[in-house]
Amino acid sequence: MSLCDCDPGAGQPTHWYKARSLSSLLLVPFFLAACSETPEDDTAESAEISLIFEADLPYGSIAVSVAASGYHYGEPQPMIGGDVMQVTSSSESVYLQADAHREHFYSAQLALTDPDISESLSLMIIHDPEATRSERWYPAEEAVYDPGSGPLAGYSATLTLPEELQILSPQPGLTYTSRTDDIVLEWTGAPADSLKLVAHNRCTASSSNSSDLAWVQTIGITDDQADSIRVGRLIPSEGVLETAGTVANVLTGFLQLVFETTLSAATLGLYETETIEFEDYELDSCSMTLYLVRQNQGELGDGIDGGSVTGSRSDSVTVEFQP
Amino acid sequence: MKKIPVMLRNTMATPLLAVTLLAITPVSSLSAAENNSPLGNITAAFRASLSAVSIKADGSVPTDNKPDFSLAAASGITLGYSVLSWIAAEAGYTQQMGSESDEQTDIAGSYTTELYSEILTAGLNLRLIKSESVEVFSRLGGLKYSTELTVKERFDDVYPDGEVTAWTSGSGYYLGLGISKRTNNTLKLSAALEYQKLPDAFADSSRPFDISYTGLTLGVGF
Repeated sequence: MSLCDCDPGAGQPTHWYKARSLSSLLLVPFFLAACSETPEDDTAESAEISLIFEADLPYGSIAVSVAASGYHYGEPQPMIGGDVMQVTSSSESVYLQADAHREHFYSAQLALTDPDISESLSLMIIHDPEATRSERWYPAEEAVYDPGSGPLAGYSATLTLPEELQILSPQPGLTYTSRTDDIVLEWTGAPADSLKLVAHNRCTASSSNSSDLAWVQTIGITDDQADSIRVGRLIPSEGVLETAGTVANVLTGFLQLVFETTLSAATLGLYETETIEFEDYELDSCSMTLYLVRQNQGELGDGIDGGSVTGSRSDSVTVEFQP
Repeated sequence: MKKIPVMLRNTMATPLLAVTLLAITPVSSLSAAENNSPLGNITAAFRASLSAVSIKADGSVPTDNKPDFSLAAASGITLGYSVLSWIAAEAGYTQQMGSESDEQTDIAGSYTTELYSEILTAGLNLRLIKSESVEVFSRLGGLKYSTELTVKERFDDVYPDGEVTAWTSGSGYYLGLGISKRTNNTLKLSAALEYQKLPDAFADSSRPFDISYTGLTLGVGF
């Protein structure tokens, strides 16, 4: 049972996100993350073809969220003109739609007929000018202007979701009063390739000299159904953090997964980081939503040089810190 | 404006053109009774209109994907032959200029659509109320249409913009209600509300649709 070495209090955080408005926080129902001191994929920027493909199934849900992005020599490639990312499960096939918050990122949800079984998902980038225009009001097959396919057409990736995970401890709403308190974590299910603890912390400040703060911390832990972590490690009173920089970088739900689990997203320029110092904040009351994310690494298809493919299942619980 | 009139490429125009020619041919033998037209029982009118364009698309089309078109200007000519004092047979040709939709966006890119129609009509003109210089009339009849659908696509500067045109034809009908006033012995001015229905465009495709033109028509007749 061990925590990987990415203690923000020591000034070596992984990915941190801050938000100073409640509205932004409400846009963050679900954060998933990886402990990634070093990029998992240093080759993505120089690779001819790179692909990020992520899928997550939260506990109790029958819909798996998927997101993907493709790169050509490190440049994000828009899916346009007839190129489209198609994700297929055993029972359904969907086209990924452009995400409103992040250019060149595409996402969708697939309903699973049986969330309990180990589901495999495949991503295929296709060029189908008619199908991508099939919801237009006129018969697209009669008037198709095809600009040709982009460099990503024909590439693919596959992943398999790991075994289901349910958090048994701590109980929702439990309040911790000291940074020296231990949060005892217990969960179910067999291990997969990795397990990540993602803490989405939202703190309020009592002093008018300080502002509220929200951020995300990611910690890798051993998947043996029990672990503990100090409150002070999640809510440090001092230290320097590398953050995602702006409120706009605190993304909606599942898409955060992609940025958190894949440092190649950062190396590909999907966001820029900045630094915050905890000494600048007087954080008196915090809400911590803890996500446990069990991950399986998937496979990139032939000809893809970089990127990552991850399938995950997750569960979350929210606790309080009121010193 | 458009290049080659669509109708001229369309063999379905032949019968309606024949009707029109038949109406014109016997000019010299017509009596001018009850008609002040210098052409005797033959009348001719040049018409211009401004119409709202609406599309009735396949029910499976998402509501957000249904287009809003700009107003369509049109011009045309109608030839009539007065059978009786209250009824005339007429044939006409109308060119509905391009009407462009608002820009829409989907996973393929951004696009606008434009409709251009040429319409041959054959029907009746009923004089419902007639005074010395003013008439209230109703028009109705069948039509043959030829429509070009032009799709203009943009791809966020990833690829060059492009456009493609498809062509369809079919049969429909028209209705109208208007008023005319003869200003002197030779000239007649008219205004009418008119409706043209062009159903089943691209009838053999996966997504046929109906086109409707509803608008105000102004005419100058002889």
